[in-house]
Amino acid sequence: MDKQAYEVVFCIVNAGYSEAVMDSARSAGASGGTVMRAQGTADKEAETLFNLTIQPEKEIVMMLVPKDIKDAVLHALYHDVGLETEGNGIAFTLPVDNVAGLGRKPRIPARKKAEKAEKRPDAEPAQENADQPKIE
Amino acid sequence: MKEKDTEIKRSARKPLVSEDKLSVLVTIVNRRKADFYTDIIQSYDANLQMLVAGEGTLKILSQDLLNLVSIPKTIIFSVIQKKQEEKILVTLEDKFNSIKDGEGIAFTIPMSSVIGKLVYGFLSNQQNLIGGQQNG
Repeated sequence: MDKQAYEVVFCIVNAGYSEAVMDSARSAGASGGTVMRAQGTADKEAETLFNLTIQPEKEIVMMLVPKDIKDAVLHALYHDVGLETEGNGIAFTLPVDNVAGLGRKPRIPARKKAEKAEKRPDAEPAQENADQPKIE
Repeated sequence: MKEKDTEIKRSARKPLVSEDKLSVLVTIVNRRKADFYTDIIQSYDANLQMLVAGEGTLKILSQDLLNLVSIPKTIIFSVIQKKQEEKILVTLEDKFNSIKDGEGIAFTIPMSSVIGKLVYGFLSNQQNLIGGQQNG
């Protein structure tokens, strides 16, 4: 379990803008995200009052980011996919207590392991070669 | 009037805030493994779980181009007891690292309030709160 401070960033944008969200967040240091499809609703009166049109098809991008880059990510999203852009995005963060699954060790497939061992001159020979008879 | 005062005093003595806090556990896993993780979380007295289909974003290098590839994911939103949080996350982290295609991320968001004794009893799996009995 990771005890480092994280926050979860939610960004709600018009459908088709999730890639723009990810690009913007990545430029601020975020690593990855998850996209969910959703439908937005808005008060018709409020729409006329604020002169806004709410496109119902939405995408919600959820990103887990370290607390220290949270502000940078929010600012990037505000500028790149905010309400004054085509994406019409809203971004907010929620506090996160505990995190699991971020500090995992990457698994290397057996084939890649063998390739790596071959590249190293001091490495032991691969199992396949060891079984072969020696030619003298 | 006197009766009303006693009633107010009595209700003031009743604790309005429970000591057993709740959290929202968000677990993002490969879609094929969603049922497996739902069962694990349910074994920790999580009575309410919601599954949302989503897509993970990952940049991979293919044919010298940096492409955005979407991976089918499921986001599991579960309401859990705060005291169970650590146990669940440790179990999940263990599964993330050991199960084939079982990689994922899990994090908890603190729940600030909930209204309704029955709802709270259901979410926190406290059966003594059902049927008019109250247990602080």
